[in-house]
Amino acid sequence: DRQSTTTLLSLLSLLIANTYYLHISRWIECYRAGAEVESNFSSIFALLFKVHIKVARCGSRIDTPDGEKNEVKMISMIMILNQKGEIMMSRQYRDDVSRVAADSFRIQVIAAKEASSQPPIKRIENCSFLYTRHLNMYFVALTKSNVNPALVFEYLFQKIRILKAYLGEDFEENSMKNNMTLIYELMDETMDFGYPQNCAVDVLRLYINLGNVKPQDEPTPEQLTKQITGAIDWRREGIRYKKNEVYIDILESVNLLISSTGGVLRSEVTGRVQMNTKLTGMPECKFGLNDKLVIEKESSAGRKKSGVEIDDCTFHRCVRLGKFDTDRTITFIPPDGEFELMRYRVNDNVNIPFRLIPAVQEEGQTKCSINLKVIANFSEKLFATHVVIKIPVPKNTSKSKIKNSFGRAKYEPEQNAIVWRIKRFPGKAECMLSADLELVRTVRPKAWARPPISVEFQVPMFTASGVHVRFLRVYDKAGYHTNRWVRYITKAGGYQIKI
Amino acid sequence: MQHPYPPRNLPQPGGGPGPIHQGGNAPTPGSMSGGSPGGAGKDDSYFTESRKGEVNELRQLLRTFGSERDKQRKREIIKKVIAYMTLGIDVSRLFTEMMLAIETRDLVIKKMVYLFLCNYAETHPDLAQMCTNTLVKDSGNEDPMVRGLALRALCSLRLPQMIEYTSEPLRRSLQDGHAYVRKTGVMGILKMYHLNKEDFDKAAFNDILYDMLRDPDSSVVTNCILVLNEIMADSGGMALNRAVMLHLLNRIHEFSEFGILSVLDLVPRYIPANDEEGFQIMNLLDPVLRTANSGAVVATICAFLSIADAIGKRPGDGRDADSPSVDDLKRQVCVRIKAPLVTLIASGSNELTYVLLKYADQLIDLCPGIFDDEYRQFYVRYSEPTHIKHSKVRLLAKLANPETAPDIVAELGELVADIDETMGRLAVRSMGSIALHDSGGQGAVESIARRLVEMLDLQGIPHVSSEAATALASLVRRHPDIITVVSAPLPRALRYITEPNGRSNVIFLLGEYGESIAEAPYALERVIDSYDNITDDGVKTALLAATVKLFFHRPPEMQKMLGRLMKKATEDVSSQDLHDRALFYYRLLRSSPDPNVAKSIITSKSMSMTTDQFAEEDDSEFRASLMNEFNTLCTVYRCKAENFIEEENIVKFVKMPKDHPLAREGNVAPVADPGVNTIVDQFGGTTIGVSLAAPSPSMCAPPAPVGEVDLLGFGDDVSILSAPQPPASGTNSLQSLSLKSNASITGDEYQSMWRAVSDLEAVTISTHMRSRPTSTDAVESALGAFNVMTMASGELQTEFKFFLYGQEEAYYGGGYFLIEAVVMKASPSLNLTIKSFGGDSDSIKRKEKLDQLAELIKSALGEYLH
Repeated sequence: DRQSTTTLLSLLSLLIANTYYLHISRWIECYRAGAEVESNFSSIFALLFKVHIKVARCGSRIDTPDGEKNEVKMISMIMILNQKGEIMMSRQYRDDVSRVAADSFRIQVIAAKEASSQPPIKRIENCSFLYTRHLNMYFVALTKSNVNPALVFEYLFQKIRILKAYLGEDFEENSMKNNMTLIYELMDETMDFGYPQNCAVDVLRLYINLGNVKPQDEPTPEQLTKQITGAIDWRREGIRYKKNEVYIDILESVNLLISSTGGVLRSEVTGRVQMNTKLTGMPECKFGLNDKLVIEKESSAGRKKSGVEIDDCTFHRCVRLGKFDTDRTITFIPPDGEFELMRYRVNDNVNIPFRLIPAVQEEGQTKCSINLKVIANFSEKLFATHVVIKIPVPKNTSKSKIKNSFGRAKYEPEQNAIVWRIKRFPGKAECMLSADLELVRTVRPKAWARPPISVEFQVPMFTASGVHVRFLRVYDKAGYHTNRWVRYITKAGGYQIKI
Repeated sequence: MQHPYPPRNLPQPGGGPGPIHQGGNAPTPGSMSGGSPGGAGKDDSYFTESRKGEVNELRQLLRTFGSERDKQRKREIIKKVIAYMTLGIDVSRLFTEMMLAIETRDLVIKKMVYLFLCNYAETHPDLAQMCTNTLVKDSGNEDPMVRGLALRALCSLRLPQMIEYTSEPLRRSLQDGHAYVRKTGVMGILKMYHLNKEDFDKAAFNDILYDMLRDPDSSVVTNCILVLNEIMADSGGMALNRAVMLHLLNRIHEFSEFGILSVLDLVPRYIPANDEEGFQIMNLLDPVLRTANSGAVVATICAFLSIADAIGKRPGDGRDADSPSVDDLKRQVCVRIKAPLVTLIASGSNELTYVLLKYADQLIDLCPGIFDDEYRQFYVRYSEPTHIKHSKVRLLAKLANPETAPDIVAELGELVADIDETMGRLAVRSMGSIALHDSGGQGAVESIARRLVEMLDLQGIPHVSSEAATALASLVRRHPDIITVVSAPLPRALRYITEPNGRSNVIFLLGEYGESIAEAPYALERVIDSYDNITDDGVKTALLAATVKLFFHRPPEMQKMLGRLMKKATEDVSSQDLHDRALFYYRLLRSSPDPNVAKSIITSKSMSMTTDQFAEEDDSEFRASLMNEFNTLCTVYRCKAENFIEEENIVKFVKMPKDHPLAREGNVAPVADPGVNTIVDQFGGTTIGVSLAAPSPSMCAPPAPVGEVDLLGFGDDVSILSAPQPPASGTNSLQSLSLKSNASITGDEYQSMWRAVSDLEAVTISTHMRSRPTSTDAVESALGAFNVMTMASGELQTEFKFFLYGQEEAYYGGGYFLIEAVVMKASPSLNLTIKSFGGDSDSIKRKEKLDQLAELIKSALGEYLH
């Protein structure tokens, strides 16, 4: 009847105004049946509901779709702030933002309570702040346009890399201040009017801070500008070494997650090939890993050699990607000094360096016993270092009796864990730990969440993926001899065993 | 060949000083920034607090600047001023003094003074104008570095009245012999554009910029693209045609890490001429997916998706039945880019991981299921920052399929008890959503429901039980049969769930399914009796609805408490909604002549859902529009650009070129054709015609006056295959012949090389020409674009004669090619004699390359041939 209809409508409009739309959806469905009786109801509901959702979703503006939309993507300002949020250095590339923006960033990001859990992109009044940290400094890029965030971060990282190259690995506030003119120069060269320009460290070194590159190989201006803008922007010509050497580091980190029943939930290796080249001239290098695809191709004539199946890899920009895609050879003219040649990922056939067999028994509310067996799964010629095994215990643990065969184990209440440190863990060795815990009774008994056991370690000269370097050939006009050094290290990434 | 590390005294690649700061401990006198990090305590004084007299003190110091001999001390003085500026202290009073310092040969001092100038020019326009002379003079300096710097400073002064001074040096810089100056000049044009748009239009730089897209140096080209895009923003960005696009794509490997982005961003705007070309572009860009720069990778993904969009078949567009559909193509693209994206997510820094996870999220929406088999990558790691954990937990729900669901649910189950409250909530929600969307396969719904019921009983963690109740409430609506699992603990749960949201959901369930739960009325009664203590309106409304509903199922038990509740609720004025609702129920119950009508309305079982989505979850339209702005902040914020970017910064780029057959109706902005106008007239401008016609002038204005016509001068007949560096078809290899852009040899070298190769080894070709070139310059510039350089050329009475050369990229052998070209005037024909020197020793390969070069030259001179 009329009365209820009007009530219903007014009710609805109120609901919409209050944006209780979860309730509306429920209500609408509640009244569908009623609507069968008065069929025009449902259409009104549906209409109102749709309008409401639209409003909630799109804001007030509804635009017409008209092809690709895109924005001019530039950075308006780069700021470097210290821990207190004060501007240490800033360079404004566009007029649409000002130094004042630093204040809002300080209040909303640096001073905010949950500073560590905030996402690295923050929008304050239509201005986007993309930031990253180095030690306790904030590197912030401000923009009012719709940038490609990955690009901006890459730029910020590159910037930090450049500063590291100039000021040392862990440059801090003071060294920044002392070198502020240098940093201004770098800010000007790496970015012009909000667009990244030349960001290659090796080339920047050529013409910024000439003082340190001096004396003999200071290039003539002629060479220099050619170099600044040349095709190979990562290496300058005319580098000379008495001894030609290449250091190759294969650094792998194992990510492992084992369920409480011993099943492997996740095993994966991410590896990096780190190089340090000290080579004369513009040498051409060819680098080979025991990549399964390559080895299979080479040993087609019956000889069976196993290779590692590399799931995916990315390269430093000096590597000729076209060449890799056709025949998977890695060829490049290396930058001078340190750089990361490639990254890779291996998912299958991971050699798990440590096996852990835990047994946890909770006896009543006051006792708990933990037994843990650790087996090193690599060759006895090798050994692991810096092994730290963290075994979580209930929060209300009061006393612990720990017996262990190797290293030192201690209950550390602040971590809620038994921390077992073993400096040197030989290959194929086994060791045991058993702990009896006494628990304090609590007023409100709460189930123990049983966080996973986590392990840290380093195993030199071992790769969990089985990757090894087959060759590195250096071709140069001068035809000199090169010394090559290879080193392998496997570290624990996220190495966790659930109990 | 592998040596283990020798035991001692080897520098480790990981640590140790890099070459740059090897000398850092003893700063060389010439370095302005060589002060060793952290050392030299006196340097700290730059940043000590300023007292009032200090600026004056500085002025005193600056006065001595002129007489100071020591370079180092001079630098110190200027540095001090800059330090003050950095602190935000106004040192503009020193403007005059600083200007005197500009006349120096020391580059470092120059840079600092320029910086000072740029900072304060706006506030001191008169003074700034005085130094323009010096700057203009510097922009003609013999050192290209100084030229570049002066030019940059000149353009950064931001004084509108300066344009008359700047345009001349700018114009000169564009023809400078050094790329550094050219690229700075190009950026300068953009700065000038922002200063004064009218004067800028008069200067007509656009044509020059389009010409400079052929610059041999990639960084100049990069800047040209960026600048053109911004200048032409009003007409949809830089004008694109096939020749330009292919020219840029073929050179893409020359671009620097960041420069490549400018080209990649153009691709989504380009409409390929045909399907084949689309695929070729994708092949050409494929290697970019292996670069370590995630920005470039994401831009490539964006480019791929857009090409797929352009060349894929759509229902009803009447194209070849064999060609793959848009969705298929997009899926293929997603499969291709999956591995690189996962690698970047796994190995990137936290910031990048965060951003890339958002992209992955969007790609999953586009192609559900593509990341399913990599679900372990999205497991939460203990050490990750919270915002990444949260993103991952949200994503995990989308990765569930019958195979992966058990693992994912188990993993989520572990996270429920996390210390982080939000995390616990998200984990429960994700579990709920897996069951709700039926993505877990058979039995998953029930097992998840059981888990949720367990959580409902987790007394210690109030937020989890509340979330579990919410998830269950939705779940029961989707799968009514699981109520048997859920019903038992509900009355109990009502006792200890404290959060309003959870409470109202439990109450809702009690109301819906109360007929089968014996204790339901009593559980509700307890809540009704404590009505005055309820603070949340949501709980009250839920209580009201549930009680009324249960009343129809179990009238004897409910009647009294319903009466009490009605009284309270109708008198409760704290919430309008509740009040109205109570009245509504009251009237409904009282006024219906037949109680069955009220019953049928209230107890209808339309609560269950038939689809696996709630209406508010269906945001496909919104997602499609997000996809349009794929590699931007929109993805991160999950919100359209209009909502957070100011209007003047929004540029609507137009897909080009329009004349390609693949241009789709949807992509082309409606052209204001006369038909629409007449309708508008007839109806007094009130019809839809208005909204169609109104935006068109801005959106569909012809791309540019210089737009479509053959921007690079090498004709539209250039396809990828005949362009300078033809990619070998079938493989991904880019090309087998690649010429250096900066090859240079002297005349003597040329002659000696020419003589060294016998004429027998030379390749000679002659072809007929359609028209003869007007001058030698035309030929030279056409060849120059392909890195074929000119040693000498001349016009004789009967012929043009050219001595040309090119050098291969070192990587391909580094050999030289020497070419003698003769163009006969009378009956136009082209005679080429090509020799190769150095490079490959394999004679077959050499021959191949010579042939390729001949083809290249022919295609370069395409406009005269045939």
